[in-house]
Amino acid sequence: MSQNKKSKPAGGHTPISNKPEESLRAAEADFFVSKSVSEEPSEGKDPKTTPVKDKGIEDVPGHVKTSMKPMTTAPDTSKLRDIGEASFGPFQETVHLPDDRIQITSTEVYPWRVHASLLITAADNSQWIGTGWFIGPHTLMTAGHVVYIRNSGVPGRDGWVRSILVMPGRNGNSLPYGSITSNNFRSVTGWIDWGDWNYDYGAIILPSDLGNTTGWFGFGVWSDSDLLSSIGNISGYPGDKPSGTQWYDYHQIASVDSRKVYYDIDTYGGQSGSAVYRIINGNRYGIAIHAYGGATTNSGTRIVTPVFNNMLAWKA
Amino acid sequence: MITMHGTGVISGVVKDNNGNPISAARVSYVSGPVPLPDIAALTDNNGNFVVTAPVPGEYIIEIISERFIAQKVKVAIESNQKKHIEIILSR
Repeated sequence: MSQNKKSKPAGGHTPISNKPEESLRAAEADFFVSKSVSEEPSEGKDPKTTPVKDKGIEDVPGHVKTSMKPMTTAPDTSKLRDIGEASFGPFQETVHLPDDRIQITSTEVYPWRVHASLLITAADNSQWIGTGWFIGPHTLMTAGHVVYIRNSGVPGRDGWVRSILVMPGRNGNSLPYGSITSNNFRSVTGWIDWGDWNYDYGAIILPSDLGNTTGWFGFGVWSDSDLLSSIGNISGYPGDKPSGTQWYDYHQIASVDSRKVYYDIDTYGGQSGSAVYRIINGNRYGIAIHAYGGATTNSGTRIVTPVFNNMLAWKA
Repeated sequence: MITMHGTGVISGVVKDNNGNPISAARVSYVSGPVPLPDIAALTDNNGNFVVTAPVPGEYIIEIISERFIAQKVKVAIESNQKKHIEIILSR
């Protein structure tokens, strides 16, 4: 798919920064995309890259997938029930049993060091955990709700978060690449102004080019059929596991719509912002930004053309 | 899109069997009436947390902290309701 034409960000994908001068520069950059549909990854310095398996999954010793049956029924994509309806059945969790996640302990090597544990301090000083992933030397992608909180119902909490402590390749108490604090964030009007989960994505801009060391993932726009024939991979920092440990799982993509990707990949609170990625010829490419846990499938914001354009601008 | 009809708030305090607050415990939704953000709250130094219930309904919250047994709590929230819960974690 050629991108050699001017494209103006439309509606909900208008980029916004908590640094007003950056918002203007990003909007102008979005008016022209000269790159192809996919952006290439980088393995960084001394990557010691772990291998991949033929089927587009990571080669993690000891990882046994109990079931890879494709979904034969439509996933639960219902987004809103009537206000008075209160019963949605028994435990329906984001970890869809059996739990196939496996811990990654070699987090200091590529690709695992691309993923960062995030400690988020909101405007009211409440703290949260999430996940981000490098897309360039000084840019991590994450969920919109990681960088900007909406409709919390808690006084003083809404708005841009105060700061995020970024810990790439964290393994429990070990920080092989240290930690770095950012207060420079990006998201889009669809999330900031509308709170529309179809636009739930954002970025963290670092004050240094740490990504040159860790490397980063590529990302791209692919057709529905391409995505539906792909295996989605997610690695991140779930809160139900020992603090600060990284966990990985994969599954065939279950379904897509024009703005979201759905998958039965086990996730848990703390993994908001994780990369949903596919592996092509041994290279990793983000296809979505994980954001929500659901009854039978979890979901992320799909990287479509305007998302891709914003990611390019934020990476620059 | 989740339309925020009557956002509710669930606040809580997490303590051990001796009544001591547990800080930095992870508080996550594991189920709810709608898909929920996969972000986890941390309890503060006094063991307190506050999370948002975007729509009325029944939620399951899990509280996890090292050296304690994790616990799940079911909370029913009505429109615009603020509910407070106390969780005791055992070793």
